[in-house]
Amino acid sequence: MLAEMRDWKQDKKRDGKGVSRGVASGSILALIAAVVLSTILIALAAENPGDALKSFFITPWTSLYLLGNMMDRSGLLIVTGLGIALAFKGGTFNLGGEGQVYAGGLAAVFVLLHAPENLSTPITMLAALVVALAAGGFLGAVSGILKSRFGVDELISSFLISSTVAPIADYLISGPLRDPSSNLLATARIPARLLFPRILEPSSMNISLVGAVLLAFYFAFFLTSTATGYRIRVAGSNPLFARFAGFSPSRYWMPVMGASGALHGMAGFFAVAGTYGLCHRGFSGGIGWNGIAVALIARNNPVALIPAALAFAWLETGSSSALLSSGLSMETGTFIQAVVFLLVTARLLPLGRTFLPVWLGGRK
Amino acid sequence: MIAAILSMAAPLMLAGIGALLTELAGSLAIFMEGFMTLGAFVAWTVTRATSSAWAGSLAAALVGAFLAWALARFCEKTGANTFIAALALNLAAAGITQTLSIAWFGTRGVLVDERVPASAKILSGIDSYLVLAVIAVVIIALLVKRTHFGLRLRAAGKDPEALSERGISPARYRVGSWAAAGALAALGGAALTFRIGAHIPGGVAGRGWIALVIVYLGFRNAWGVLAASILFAAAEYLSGIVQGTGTIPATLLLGLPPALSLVLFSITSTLKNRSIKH
Repeated sequence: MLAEMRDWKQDKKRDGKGVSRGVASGSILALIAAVVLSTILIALAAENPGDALKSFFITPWTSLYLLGNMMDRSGLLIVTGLGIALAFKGGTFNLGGEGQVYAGGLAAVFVLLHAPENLSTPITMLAALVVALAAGGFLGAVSGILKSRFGVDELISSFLISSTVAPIADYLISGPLRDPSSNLLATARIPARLLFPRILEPSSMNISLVGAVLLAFYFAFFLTSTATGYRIRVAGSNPLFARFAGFSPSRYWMPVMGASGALHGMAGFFAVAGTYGLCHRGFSGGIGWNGIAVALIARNNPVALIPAALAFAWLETGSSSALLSSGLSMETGTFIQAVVFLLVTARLLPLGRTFLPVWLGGRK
Repeated sequence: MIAAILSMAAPLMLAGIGALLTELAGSLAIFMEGFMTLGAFVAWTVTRATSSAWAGSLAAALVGAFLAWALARFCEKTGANTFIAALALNLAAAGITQTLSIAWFGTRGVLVDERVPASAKILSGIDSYLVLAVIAVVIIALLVKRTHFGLRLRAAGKDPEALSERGISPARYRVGSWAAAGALAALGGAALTFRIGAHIPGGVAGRGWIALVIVYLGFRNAWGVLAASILFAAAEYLSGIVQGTGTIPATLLLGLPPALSLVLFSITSTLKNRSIKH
């Protein structure tokens, strides 16, 4: 059995090279296509395309404020991307990220606002983190249990759970938990001592970014170099082999969905205690969906999530700054997501080769 | 009351029966929400331009069929993941309708125009879209169960190799089922528009996802889809009444349809798996 296992691993490695090259080019093509599409949309929609394109490509890198916000955003996307990637690796699909981020953030804010004053800052933060992990993890784990115990498809159940939770959170924020002294549909502000220290004032970049990057490296280690990580990957990529090796792949569905949800909850905690300083209605908008896009671009590789998240955060920041500068409102964000989703799993090279002349590598 | 519930069921029937086709052909299309959104908008826009609800409905169906066909062909050609490509359409649909709504009508809000009527009542007060939906369900039920075509469609999902060995391409059935599902979902969206004679952004409100649940709730059977659609419509009707009394906040009620879907979906999945085990 062990020999078999080793053989399989080597096979995987040998195959891995060729696949990963084709795969990386697919990710890069998807990103390039997203950039080209955003450029076209912005150029068409803006009255002054030159200015708009400048604020798309250049402004985010020259303004420290935008640069910081962009880095902050990419930190959140790394964490949600990790959640998605982990679920994928274990053979499940978490489509409930939005609701998990929302629940985690709201739970964390509740703790941060109601913790006793005399409790020390680190302990309060830790409590908020644990509660956020538990809230998101619970939502994910329910889908996992439903799948492994009752055979309920987790893709649909996680989405439905998320759609159930979002209106409840909306209600809590605009009703019982709302700060009546403010015009915003939001909770009260978190006391300054309970916020993540900012790194690049006045931008929202804060030390949670460091945590996100460390977490990505930890998961890279966990998946490739620990026995549990290895089993999760086998359970996800080759369930039949997992059975031969003596363990049931379904054993890992609940833990990976739970961990995936917990990571989303953590992203919610980072967002409220780092980025926003409060919990406003719909704050999770896009963090969950974009996590899926980022994980797809990175091909579920934890370390590759870092550049993928950065690229995606730039697309978001750049396009919104371009639209602000041209005074237009358009949903570029959804178009970018859509193009990435459409192209990222496609093998475009074989398709492209049918249109190329033979001497350029086209198919005969 | 029954008439109101049945007319609420029409969009769900159309989308549900479309999703059933794709599920039977072997790859469930999760793009129903997106095509309902597009269909609702196309139906409103074309009806306003032509003053003909027929033209609006036909345009919605054609746009849905063509885009779904193109998406399916793209997935076949490039090996793209069908779930993720369909998710792309769901995300794009909301952005496309909003952008076009601003570009053409200068608003992202509710669209109302006298040229777009509320659904015509035929046969002594029955919604015309309800008639269309029931006809669609009946035709598809017979097609799937009683014809060679239906047999091959189901074979494409259950045993594609057997089909290929007989020289029939399962891929063609999968692509065809996606095109049909795109058209039916778009008609479901159009039904939403014509029910009130206006286009409400975000008015689909998760019905495309409920349509997927309806497929399983109806035990992958056309008549089951019909029954499950009516069940969900009844729930929608009740939550409308509860909302009217004001005892439960409206925001909270938005969580009710997905919660109900989750419970029913879990129960049917459990029952199905139990019956397989025994």
